Amino acid sequence: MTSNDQARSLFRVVARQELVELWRGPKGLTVLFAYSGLLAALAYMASADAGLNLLDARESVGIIAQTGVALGALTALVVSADAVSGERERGTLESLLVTPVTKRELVLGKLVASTSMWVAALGVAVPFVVVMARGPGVAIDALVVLVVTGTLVSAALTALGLAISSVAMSNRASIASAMAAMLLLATPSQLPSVTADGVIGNVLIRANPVSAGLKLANEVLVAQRSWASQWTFLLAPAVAAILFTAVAIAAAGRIELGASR
Amino acid sequence: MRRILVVCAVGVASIAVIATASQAAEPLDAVSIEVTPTEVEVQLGERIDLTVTVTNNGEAAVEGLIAHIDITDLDVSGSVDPEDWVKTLSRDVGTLEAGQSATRTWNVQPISSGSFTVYAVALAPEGSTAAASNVVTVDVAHRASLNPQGVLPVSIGVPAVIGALLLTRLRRRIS
Repeated sequence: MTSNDQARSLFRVVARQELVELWRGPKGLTVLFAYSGLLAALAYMASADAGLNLLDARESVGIIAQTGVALGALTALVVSADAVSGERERGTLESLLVTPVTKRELVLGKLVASTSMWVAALGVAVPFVVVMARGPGVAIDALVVLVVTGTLVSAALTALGLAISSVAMSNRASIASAMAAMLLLATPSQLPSVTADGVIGNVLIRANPVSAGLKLANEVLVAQRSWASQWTFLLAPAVAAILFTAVAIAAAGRIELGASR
Repeated sequence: MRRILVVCAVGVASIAVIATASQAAEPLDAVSIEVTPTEVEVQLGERIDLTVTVTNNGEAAVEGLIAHIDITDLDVSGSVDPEDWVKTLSRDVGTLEAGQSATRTWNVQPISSGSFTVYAVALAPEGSTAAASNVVTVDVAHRASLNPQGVLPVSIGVPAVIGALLLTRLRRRIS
């Protein structure tokens, strides 16, 4: 067995172990249950308003797609922000570091496991979007928004969470920093339209992965703009996904035992 | 003391001038305004068309008229925000020659159930009220659907399935 094969096999072992821990235990399902509950309540309220014509049917689909992407990415972020700092706090990081697995393999394995949180969240969001998008006939657009935009945004945030978790010395600090980063990134999407349409507002929205992704969902699903004119909103999430993954891998070298409880 | 008396005198004089000025802005009898239909019954979410007719009954032309509608809930001391019901409250009518009428139609969507009052006013260029219309009663019946857009089975089913899986995991863990 070459060293490359061995590294690949060790990475697989870590990924499998992390996936089992996440999904055989209550952690993954608890987060997913909360996510599905929130999405269900919002979908019901938005559908009730759309059913009474108080909300445009496209707008209700846009709300669910945007919430599905934002909350789904948040669930993956929370799991990844707990990945390394959580092990450190539970006192299990030491036993992981004495195994033949390198820090980089460890981080990559945890990245795969955290990404599975988004895949599960996507699976939960799809039925809501499909049912609600039947009326206005935007099911395919809504699914593409969820799959493409959501995957890129959550890949970026998952890697960011993992990078923070690798360097944060406490789990609380890691999760708080990750949540703060998410809020900061989502803020430009809440700018009033006058500011958002200006040069600075436009740059703020396009340059950060979360607001660009949410804006794309709104433009395609609600404003009925074509993908051809809006695909540039995918650039920030794609670049951020690559950049943050590189940062997470680089931060793996800085994983230290620190003070465990 | 003298200063106080002077200030009081100026205040009283100002009030008198303002009162005289407001009395001078008499409604223009020449213009009348009417809203039809006078009674409407709709279900929540439905749209209604209200037609406002402004007529110049006088002998001379009236310039720069604006028609404006308002919605109020007389039972709850006018707690309705009319801009939630209709996008534009005021419409330009322009100049009406003697005997001429103009109509403007508002597409209104009630956003809550109950009994509401709609009326319109025609405004003269200087902003004084030219005329107020008849009152239109809009009765909005509540409409509720337990399964809006067929989303209820998904809204219950998806969290229920995940919740059941979670319970199974937790039970296994405890046992």
